[in-house]
Amino acid sequence: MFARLLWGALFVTALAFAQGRGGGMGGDEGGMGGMGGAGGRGGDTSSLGSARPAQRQSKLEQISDKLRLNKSQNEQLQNILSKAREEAGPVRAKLLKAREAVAVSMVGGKSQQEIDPLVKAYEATAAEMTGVETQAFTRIYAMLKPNQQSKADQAFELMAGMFEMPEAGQGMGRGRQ
Amino acid sequence: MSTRLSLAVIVMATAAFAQGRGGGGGGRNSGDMGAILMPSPMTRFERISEILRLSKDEKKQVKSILDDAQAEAAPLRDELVKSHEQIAKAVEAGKSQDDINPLVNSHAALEARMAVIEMKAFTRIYQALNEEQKAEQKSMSQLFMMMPHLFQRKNWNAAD
Repeated sequence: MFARLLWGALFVTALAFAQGRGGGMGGDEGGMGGMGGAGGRGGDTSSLGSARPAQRQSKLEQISDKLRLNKSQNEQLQNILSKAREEAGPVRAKLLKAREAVAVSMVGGKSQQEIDPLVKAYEATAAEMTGVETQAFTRIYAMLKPNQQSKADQAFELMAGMFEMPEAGQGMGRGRQ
Repeated sequence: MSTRLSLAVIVMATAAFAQGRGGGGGGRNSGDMGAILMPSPMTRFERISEILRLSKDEKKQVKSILDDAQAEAAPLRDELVKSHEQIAKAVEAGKSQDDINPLVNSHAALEARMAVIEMKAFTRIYQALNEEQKAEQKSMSQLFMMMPHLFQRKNWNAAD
Protein backbone atom coordinates (compact mmCIF):
# COMPACT_ATOMS: atom_id res chain seq x y z
CA MET A 1 0.00 0.00 0.00
CA PHE A 2 2.77 2.35 0.97
CA ALA A 3 4.74 1.54 -2.15
CA ARG A 4 1.73 2.28 -4.29
CA LEU A 5 1.24 5.60 -2.57
CA LEU A 6 4.91 6.40 -2.92
CA TRP A 7 5.23 5.62 -6.60
CA GLY A 8 1.91 7.23 -7.33
CA ALA A 9 3.19 10.41 -5.79
CA LEU A 10 6.46 10.17 -7.66
CA PHE A 11 4.66 9.74 -10.91
CA VAL A 12 2.51 12.77 -10.26
CA THR A 13 5.57 14.80 -9.36
CA ALA A 14 7.49 13.70 -12.37
CA LEU A 15 4.59 14.33 -14.66
CA ALA A 16 3.95 17.81 -13.34
CA PHE A 17 7.61 18.59 -13.47
CA ALA A 18 8.07 17.25 -16.96
CA GLN A 19 5.24 19.38 -18.18
CA GLY A 20 7.28 22.31 -17.14
CA ARG A 21 4.68 24.25 -15.20
CA GLY A 22 4.76 26.73 -17.99
CA GLY A 23 4.63 26.71 -21.69
CA GLY A 24 6.92 27.52 -24.47
CA MET A 25 10.49 28.18 -23.74
CA GLY A 26 9.97 28.08 -20.03
CA GLY A 27 13.05 27.62 -18.00
CA ASP A 28 15.51 30.34 -17.70
CA GLU A 29 15.95 31.01 -21.31
CA GLY A 30 13.37 33.69 -21.07
CA GLY A 31 12.86 35.74 -24.11
CA MET A 32 15.13 38.02 -25.93
CA GLY A 33 12.91 40.91 -26.52
CA GLY A 34 10.53 43.14 -24.71
CA MET A 35 11.53 42.12 -21.26
CA GLY A 36 13.49 45.16 -20.32
CA GLY A 37 16.48 43.01 -19.80
CA ALA A 38 14.64 40.91 -17.35
CA GLY A 39 14.38 37.65 -19.15
CA GLY A 40 11.91 35.09 -18.03
CA ARG A 41 12.42 32.18 -15.83
CA GLY A 42 9.06 30.60 -15.92
CA GLY A 43 7.26 30.30 -19.17
CA ASP A 44 4.07 31.38 -17.55
CA THR A 45 5.51 34.54 -16.16
CA SER A 46 6.41 35.96 -19.51
CA SER A 47 3.22 37.92 -19.83
CA LEU A 48 4.21 39.88 -16.76
CA GLY A 49 7.48 40.96 -18.20
CA SER A 50 6.58 44.57 -18.66
CA ALA A 51 5.53 44.95 -15.05
CA ARG A 52 8.63 43.49 -13.60
CA PRO A 53 11.64 45.42 -12.44
CA ALA A 54 15.01 44.90 -14.03
CA GLN A 55 16.61 41.64 -13.03
CA ARG A 56 19.60 39.63 -13.95
CA GLN A 57 19.86 38.54 -17.54
CA SER A 58 18.29 35.27 -18.51
CA LYS A 59 20.61 32.45 -19.49
CA LEU A 60 19.63 32.94 -23.11
CA GLU A 61 20.63 36.57 -22.94
CA GLN A 62 23.86 35.74 -21.18
CA ILE A 63 24.76 33.19 -23.83
CA SER A 64 23.84 35.59 -26.58
CA ASP A 65 25.93 38.35 -25.05
CA LYS A 66 28.84 36.05 -24.43
CA LEU A 67 28.90 34.91 -28.03
CA ARG A 68 27.96 38.31 -29.49
CA LEU A 69 25.24 36.79 -31.59
CA ASN A 70 23.49 38.69 -34.34
CA LYS A 71 19.73 38.78 -34.74
CA SER A 72 19.53 35.74 -36.95
CA GLN A 73 21.81 33.75 -34.67
CA ASN A 74 19.69 34.78 -31.70
CA GLU A 75 16.67 33.28 -33.38
CA GLN A 76 18.59 30.11 -34.04
CA LEU A 77 19.74 30.06 -30.43
CA GLN A 78 16.17 30.35 -29.21
CA ASN A 79 15.11 27.52 -31.47
CA ILE A 80 17.96 25.30 -30.37
CA LEU A 81 17.30 25.89 -26.69
CA SER A 82 13.58 25.50 -27.12
CA LYS A 83 14.03 22.18 -28.87
CA ALA A 84 16.51 21.03 -26.26
CA ARG A 85 14.11 21.94 -23.46
CA GLU A 86 11.45 19.90 -25.18
CA GLU A 87 13.82 16.95 -25.48
CA ALA A 88 14.82 17.40 -21.86
CA GLY A 89 11.24 17.19 -20.55
CA PRO A 90 11.02 13.43 -20.05
CA VAL A 91 14.60 13.28 -18.82
CA ARG A 92 13.85 16.01 -16.30
CA ALA A 93 10.96 13.97 -14.96
CA LYS A 94 13.14 10.88 -14.67
CA LEU A 95 15.84 12.88 -12.95
CA LEU A 96 13.44 14.17 -10.33
CA LYS A 97 12.03 10.72 -9.83
CA ALA A 98 15.54 9.32 -9.38
CA ARG A 99 16.41 12.08 -6.96
CA GLU A 100 13.30 11.43 -4.93
CA ALA A 101 14.05 7.74 -4.83
CA VAL A 102 17.49 8.45 -3.39
CA ALA A 103 16.11 10.92 -0.84
CA VAL A 104 13.33 8.62 0.25
CA SER A 105 15.69 5.70 0.70
CA MET A 106 18.11 7.82 2.72
CA VAL A 107 15.38 9.25 4.93
CA GLY A 108 14.01 5.76 5.34
CA GLY A 109 17.36 4.54 6.62
CA LYS A 110 18.01 2.09 3.79
CA SER A 111 21.39 0.43 3.60
CA GLN A 112 24.14 1.65 1.28
CA GLN A 113 23.62 -1.50 -0.78
CA GLU A 114 20.04 -0.51 -1.33
CA ILE A 115 20.89 3.10 -2.09
CA ASP A 116 23.72 2.42 -4.54
CA PRO A 117 21.53 1.15 -7.41
CA LEU A 118 19.32 4.20 -7.02
CA VAL A 119 22.34 6.46 -7.31
CA LYS A 120 23.41 4.50 -10.40
CA ALA A 121 19.99 5.08 -11.90
CA TYR A 122 20.33 8.77 -11.15
CA GLU A 123 23.73 8.77 -12.81
CA ALA A 124 22.35 7.18 -15.97
CA THR A 125 19.63 9.79 -16.18
CA ALA A 126 22.09 12.59 -15.48
CA ALA A 127 24.08 11.33 -18.44
CA GLU A 128 20.99 11.61 -20.61
CA MET A 129 20.51 15.19 -19.47
CA THR A 130 24.14 16.08 -20.10
CA GLY A 131 23.68 14.49 -23.51
CA VAL A 132 20.81 16.86 -24.26
CA GLU A 133 22.94 19.82 -23.13
CA THR A 134 25.85 18.64 -25.23
CA GLN A 135 23.73 18.21 -28.33
CA ALA A 136 22.33 21.70 -27.92
CA PHE A 137 25.82 23.06 -27.48
CA THR A 138 26.99 21.21 -30.60
CA ARG A 139 24.21 22.88 -32.59
CA ILE A 140 25.05 26.28 -31.14
CA TYR A 141 28.73 25.81 -31.88
CA ALA A 142 27.95 24.86 -35.45
CA MET A 143 26.21 28.16 -36.12
CA LEU A 144 29.03 30.31 -34.76
CA LYS A 145 31.41 32.27 -36.93
CA PRO A 146 35.11 31.62 -36.33
CA ASN A 147 35.52 34.86 -34.39
CA GLN A 148 32.71 33.83 -32.02
CA GLN A 149 33.99 30.35 -31.30
CA SER A 150 36.63 31.37 -28.77
CA LYS A 151 33.93 32.08 -26.18
CA ALA A 152 31.95 28.95 -26.91
CA ASP A 153 33.18 26.99 -23.90
CA GLN A 154 32.07 29.82 -21.63
CA ALA A 155 28.65 29.65 -23.21
CA PHE A 156 28.56 25.92 -22.54
CA GLU A 157 29.41 26.63 -18.93
CA LEU A 158 26.35 28.86 -18.78
CA MET A 159 24.28 25.99 -20.11
CA ALA A 160 25.20 23.69 -17.25
CA GLY A 161 21.99 22.38 -15.76
CA MET A 162 19.80 24.83 -17.63
CA PHE A 163 17.34 22.20 -18.81
CA GLU A 164 17.00 20.46 -15.47
CA MET A 165 14.51 22.78 -13.90
CA PRO A 166 11.51 23.98 -15.82
CA GLU A 167 11.51 27.30 -14.12
CA ALA A 168 14.76 27.32 -12.39
CA GLY A 169 17.19 29.90 -13.32
CA GLN A 170 20.43 30.44 -11.59
CA GLY A 171 18.73 29.78 -8.29
CA MET A 172 18.49 26.07 -8.62
CA GLY A 173 20.50 25.54 -11.72
CA ARG A 174 24.17 25.15 -11.67
CA GLY A 175 25.31 28.50 -12.99
CA ARG A 176 28.64 28.45 -11.31
CA GLN A 177 29.18 31.54 -9.26
CA MET B 1 4.79 3.33 10.74
CA SER B 2 5.88 6.82 11.60
CA THR B 3 8.83 6.58 9.19
CA ARG B 4 6.52 5.39 6.43
CA LEU B 5 4.27 8.29 7.10
CA SER B 6 7.18 10.71 7.01
CA LEU B 7 8.42 9.34 3.72
CA ALA B 8 4.99 9.59 2.25
CA VAL B 9 4.85 13.18 3.38
CA ILE B 10 8.08 13.98 1.56
CA VAL B 11 7.03 12.56 -1.74
CA MET B 12 3.50 13.86 -1.50
CA ALA B 13 4.90 17.23 -0.57
CA THR B 14 7.12 17.27 -3.61
CA ALA B 15 4.19 16.30 -5.74
CA ALA B 16 2.17 19.10 -4.28
CA PHE B 17 4.99 21.49 -4.91
CA ALA B 18 5.43 20.40 -8.49
CA GLN B 19 1.76 20.69 -9.16
CA GLY B 20 0.78 23.59 -7.05
CA ARG B 21 3.90 25.66 -7.02
CA GLY B 22 3.21 26.64 -3.47
CA GLY B 23 4.88 29.75 -2.28
CA GLY B 24 8.43 30.52 -1.47
CA GLY B 25 11.04 27.94 -1.84
CA GLY B 26 13.38 26.88 -4.43
CA GLY B 27 15.84 29.08 -6.02
CA ARG B 28 14.71 32.32 -7.44
CA ASN B 29 11.38 31.18 -8.53
CA SER B 30 9.40 29.45 -6.26
CA GLY B 31 6.21 30.11 -5.43
CA ASP B 32 3.93 32.96 -5.54
CA MET B 33 4.10 35.56 -8.18
CA GLY B 34 5.52 38.11 -5.81
CA ALA B 35 8.56 35.97 -5.29
CA ILE B 36 9.07 35.73 -9.02
CA LEU B 37 8.61 39.38 -9.65
CA MET B 38 10.55 40.69 -6.73
CA PRO B 39 13.40 38.36 -5.85
CA SER B 40 14.07 38.42 -2.20
CA PRO B 41 17.46 39.61 -1.02
CA MET B 42 17.35 36.90 1.63
CA THR B 43 20.19 34.46 1.83
CA ARG B 44 19.34 30.82 1.30
CA PHE B 45 19.89 30.13 4.96
CA GLU B 46 17.44 32.83 5.92
CA ARG B 47 14.98 31.38 3.47
CA ILE B 48 15.43 27.84 4.75
CA SER B 49 15.10 29.04 8.33
CA GLU B 50 11.90 30.80 7.47
CA ILE B 51 10.47 27.93 5.44
CA LEU B 52 11.15 25.38 8.17
CA ARG B 53 10.47 27.78 11.03
CA LEU B 54 13.68 26.81 12.71
CA SER B 55 14.42 27.49 16.34
CA LYS B 56 17.71 29.04 17.35
CA ASP B 57 19.27 25.64 18.03
CA GLU B 58 17.89 24.15 14.85
CA LYS B 59 19.34 27.05 12.87
CA LYS B 60 22.78 26.23 14.20
CA GLN B 61 22.33 22.59 13.31
CA VAL B 62 21.04 23.23 9.82
CA LYS B 63 23.73 25.79 9.07
CA SER B 64 26.35 23.32 10.21
CA ILE B 65 24.86 20.54 8.05
CA LEU B 66 24.89 22.73 4.98
CA ASP B 67 28.37 24.10 5.65
CA ASP B 68 29.68 20.56 6.04
CA ALA B 69 28.04 19.54 2.80
CA GLN B 70 29.53 22.54 1.02
CA ALA B 71 32.98 21.60 2.27
CA GLU B 72 32.49 18.02 1.12
CA ALA B 73 31.26 19.22 -2.26
CA ALA B 74 34.08 21.70 -2.92
CA PRO B 75 36.52 19.36 -4.67
CA LEU B 76 33.69 17.79 -6.61
CA ARG B 77 32.57 21.19 -7.76
CA ASP B 78 35.96 21.81 -9.34
CA GLU B 79 35.90 18.41 -10.98
CA LEU B 80 32.48 19.14 -12.42
CA VAL B 81 33.67 22.38 -13.94
CA LYS B 82 36.67 20.64 -15.47
CA SER B 83 34.68 17.74 -16.86
CA HIS B 84 32.16 20.13 -18.37
CA GLU B 85 35.02 22.01 -20.00
CA GLN B 86 36.33 18.76 -21.43
CA ILE B 87 33.01 18.12 -23.10
CA ALA B 88 33.06 21.61 -24.60
CA LYS B 89 36.59 21.13 -25.88
CA ALA B 90 35.65 17.80 -27.45
CA VAL B 91 32.69 19.37 -29.26
CA GLU B 92 34.85 22.26 -30.40
CA ALA B 93 37.47 19.85 -31.68
CA GLY B 94 34.81 18.11 -33.72
CA LYS B 95 35.17 14.81 -31.89
CA SER B 96 32.75 12.02 -32.70
CA GLN B 97 29.83 11.06 -30.49
CA ASP B 98 31.76 7.92 -29.55
CA ASP B 99 34.53 10.12 -28.23
CA ILE B 100 32.17 12.46 -26.44
CA ASN B 101 30.02 9.81 -24.74
CA PRO B 102 32.64 8.73 -22.19
CA LEU B 103 33.12 12.36 -21.19
CA VAL B 104 29.38 12.77 -20.76
CA ASN B 105 29.26 9.61 -18.66
CA SER B 106 32.07 10.67 -16.38
CA HIS B 107 30.44 14.05 -15.94
CA ALA B 108 27.21 12.31 -14.99
CA ALA B 109 29.06 10.19 -12.45
CA LEU B 110 30.31 13.36 -10.79
CA GLU B 111 26.80 14.78 -10.85
CA ALA B 112 25.51 11.68 -9.12
CA ARG B 113 28.13 12.07 -6.42
CA MET B 114 27.04 15.67 -5.96
CA ALA B 115 23.40 14.63 -5.77
CA VAL B 116 24.30 12.19 -3.01
CA ILE B 117 25.87 15.03 -1.00
CA GLU B 118 22.76 17.12 -1.55
CA MET B 119 20.40 14.34 -0.55
CA LYS B 120 22.48 13.44 2.49
CA ALA B 121 22.26 17.04 3.62
CA PHE B 122 18.52 16.99 3.01
CA THR B 123 18.23 13.82 5.06
CA ARG B 124 20.27 15.21 7.92
CA ILE B 125 18.15 18.36 8.00
CA TYR B 126 14.99 16.26 7.88
CA GLN B 127 16.22 14.18 10.78
CA ALA B 128 17.00 17.30 12.79
CA LEU B 129 13.43 18.54 12.56
CA ASN B 130 10.66 17.80 15.00
CA GLU B 131 7.60 15.81 13.97
CA GLU B 132 5.52 18.91 13.45
CA GLN B 133 8.06 20.41 11.08
CA LYS B 134 8.45 17.12 9.22
CA ALA B 135 4.73 16.99 8.67
CA GLU B 136 4.70 20.37 6.93
CA GLN B 137 4.36 19.19 3.34
CA LYS B 138 4.89 22.54 1.75
CA SER B 139 8.00 23.28 3.77
CA MET B 140 9.52 19.90 3.10
CA SER B 141 8.85 20.16 -0.59
CA GLN B 142 10.38 23.60 -0.71
CA LEU B 143 13.47 22.37 1.03
CA PHE B 144 13.67 19.36 -1.27
CA MET B 145 13.41 21.55 -4.33
CA MET B 146 16.14 23.86 -3.07
CA MET B 147 18.69 21.10 -2.82
CA PRO B 148 19.62 20.37 -6.47
CA HIS B 149 22.94 21.97 -7.30
CA LEU B 150 22.95 23.91 -4.04
CA PHE B 151 26.63 23.17 -3.46
CA GLN B 152 27.78 23.73 -6.99
CA ARG B 153 28.10 27.35 -6.14
CA LYS B 154 31.08 28.71 -4.28
CA ASN B 155 28.79 29.77 -1.48
CA TRP B 156 25.56 27.89 -0.95
CA ASN B 157 24.33 30.69 1.24
CA ALA B 158 24.68 33.53 -1.22
CA ALA B 159 21.65 35.71 -1.64
CA ASP B 160 19.81 35.06 -4.87
